[in-house]
Amino acid sequence: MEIVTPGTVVGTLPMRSGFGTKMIGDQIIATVSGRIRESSNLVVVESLNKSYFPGLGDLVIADVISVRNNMWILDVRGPFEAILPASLVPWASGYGQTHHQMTPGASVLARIQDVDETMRCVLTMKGAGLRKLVQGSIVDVPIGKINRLTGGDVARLSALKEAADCRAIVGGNGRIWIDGSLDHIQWLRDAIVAISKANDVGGVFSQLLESAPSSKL
Amino acid sequence: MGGYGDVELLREDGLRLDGRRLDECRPISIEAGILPQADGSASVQWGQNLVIAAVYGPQEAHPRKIQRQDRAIVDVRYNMAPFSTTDRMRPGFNRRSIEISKVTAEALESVVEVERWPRSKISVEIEVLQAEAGTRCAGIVAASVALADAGIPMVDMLVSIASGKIAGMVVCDLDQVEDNYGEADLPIAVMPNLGNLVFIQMDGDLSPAELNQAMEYNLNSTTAIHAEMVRALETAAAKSGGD
Repeated sequence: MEIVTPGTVVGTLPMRSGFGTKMIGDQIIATVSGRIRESSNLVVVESLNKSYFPGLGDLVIADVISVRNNMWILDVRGPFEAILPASLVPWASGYGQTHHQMTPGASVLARIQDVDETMRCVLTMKGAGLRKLVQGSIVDVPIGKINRLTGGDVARLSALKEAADCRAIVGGNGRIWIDGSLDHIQWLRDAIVAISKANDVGGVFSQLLESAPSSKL
Repeated sequence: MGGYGDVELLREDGLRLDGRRLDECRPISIEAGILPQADGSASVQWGQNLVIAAVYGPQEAHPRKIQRQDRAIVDVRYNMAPFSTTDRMRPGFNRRSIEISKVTAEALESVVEVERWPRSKISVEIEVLQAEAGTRCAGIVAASVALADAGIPMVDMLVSIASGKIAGMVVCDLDQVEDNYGEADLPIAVMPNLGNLVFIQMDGDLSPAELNQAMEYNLNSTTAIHAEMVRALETAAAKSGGD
């Protein structure tokens, strides 16, 4: 697949400009370094190395970094910290009670409730499946590599978690929560890291499936 | 220009002391993605110059008084290592490094889409490990590749180079001796695809004709430097591989 760098002309009218591109005059130029994809008259450049940008409704795995009397401040791996108000947790919480309910270091599965134009970000834990993550392990994957595990029809993560007999939840912010037996968690963590770093993703994936804990059982 | 005394800067055969033609650039080699801890990074070996750049962010700008509600700020820190020059430098910032940090930041802000990240800061650290004239240009090139490596949206990359005047002749890409004993220096930075000039400085005196000649040398050299920047990013992309 073709790699383009910022400033490269990747299309002209009547094509439409998508993510990673910008219209200048009648030309579409790449604004990021990455792979160019074209579909139905839309040209997109997918950055290989990007940071998380919170989007409305994103499911994220976040860490509490500080506690106020009526809210928690969380790290969502974005450019800004996010707030989780005490009114948006699925348990009774009042003024001053927050300190006893979650302390810095706790991890939660939450959803982005609001992001304003200055990127102030509000999380909510009210919703199906949203909760404190009190067990398991979290592995961080570069945002640009998350498609290797979950993108389109690839679904490598589903095969890996089945092979490892673990549960896994992918946060849109590039964090994956894994739960299962200790050995299997460790195997799945290593597998996810190996795929995110691999050059030959397909080959590494096949090798991993052969060495999966379930295949040895 | 900081030197003194009579130094022969051109050989009898018309070539420069290091054997280059008047319009010839020093060899340049760029590598992207060299620092795993940084969001983006690059190293530039340009003649005897060795410069690394690291990009962090965008992240919330602190202290809050430096935040801009409508855009991000590009914070550049250019620093020369104490061992980068033949005479050991005093560590830390000086007037020169503060000036270069400022002009580099302003040049980079003209290509980075800063309006995408209100209240944020993009930190660019430029560290000169070995200096042989033209470090600000090497720093801008390194920073530009590092920003692209970090996935920061930019309308174009920046290519920077300096031409100057030695022994009454305009030459491209001054080396250390030429910089010290030459008569003028003209660093520029341009957007290679859009063709915009975003940065120009001049030290010493050039006549209008010499200025045009120096600009011609500079602009002619940008193609090769830009090609090396693209090659570095493509190599880094190939290393990361996969889909």
